[in-house]
Amino acid sequence: MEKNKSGMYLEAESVRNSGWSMGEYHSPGYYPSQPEPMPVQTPARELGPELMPTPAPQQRAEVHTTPAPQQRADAWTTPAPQQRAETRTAPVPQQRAETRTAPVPQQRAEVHTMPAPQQRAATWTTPAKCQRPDTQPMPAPHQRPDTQPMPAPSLCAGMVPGMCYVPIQEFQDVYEPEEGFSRGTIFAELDYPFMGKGECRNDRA
Amino acid sequence: MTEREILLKRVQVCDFALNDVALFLDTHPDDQAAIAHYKKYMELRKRAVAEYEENFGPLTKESYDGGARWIWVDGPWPWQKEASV
Repeated sequence: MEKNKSGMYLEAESVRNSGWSMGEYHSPGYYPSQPEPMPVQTPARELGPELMPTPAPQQRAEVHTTPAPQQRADAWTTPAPQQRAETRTAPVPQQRAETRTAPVPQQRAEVHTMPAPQQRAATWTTPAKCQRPDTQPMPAPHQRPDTQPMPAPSLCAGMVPGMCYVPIQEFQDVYEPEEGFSRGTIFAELDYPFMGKGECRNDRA
Repeated sequence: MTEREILLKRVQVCDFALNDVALFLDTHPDDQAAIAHYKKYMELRKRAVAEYEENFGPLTKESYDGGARWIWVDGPWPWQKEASV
């Protein structure tokens, strides 16, 4: 049986032309759970002289400046990176360390400066629509004592901020069942035209 | 449309109306107009189902008539061509 470039068996030409073909398949006795040996020979320079081409932790620490382990040692008893470097003897791919230049975390902190929560609260103001004209503006949530209830704005009487309200539906303008079946609802109030792409079958204006 | 299709569509239309009114009643449980509407279509559905099953066999397994034969298997199976309307 002929094989393709990756070493997998190909069906006979008569089977391929029969219209019912599995394409490439593995050799008889192959089970997908068992790993097949790699037929392709990887160039030696890509794998490196050892099986673990990962750089030593020491070199990694120089490129990515993670927080010092001494800060975490009080809470966790993980060994310091220097200790780990002594046990691992993986070779260092010098080429990778020179080409990769990850940014230092301190530099990133300087770029993204999140404002402190106190600063944000000072800029929070009540939306103009719900402002009460005769009283003080609504205080920021974190400044309001827990014992006092939140005052309701006069323009939104009976409504609580942060809650969504939907107008109540009445049982009226009900289609005949055949018409409701074709339109998708028996309630004329809920019969909205479809504004998406494609053919629109709703004739209602 | 064949007679079977017409009778089946009546059942489907009544089922759809009942479902829509039921959704309304979920949020308006005391609306008498909606309850009256639901009762009306319940009766219409019963009649439509009875008319269909009298001519074309059971619509569901619950339609077993209590006879000596399990007539459910007499109709086409779902994957058979005759089952699609």
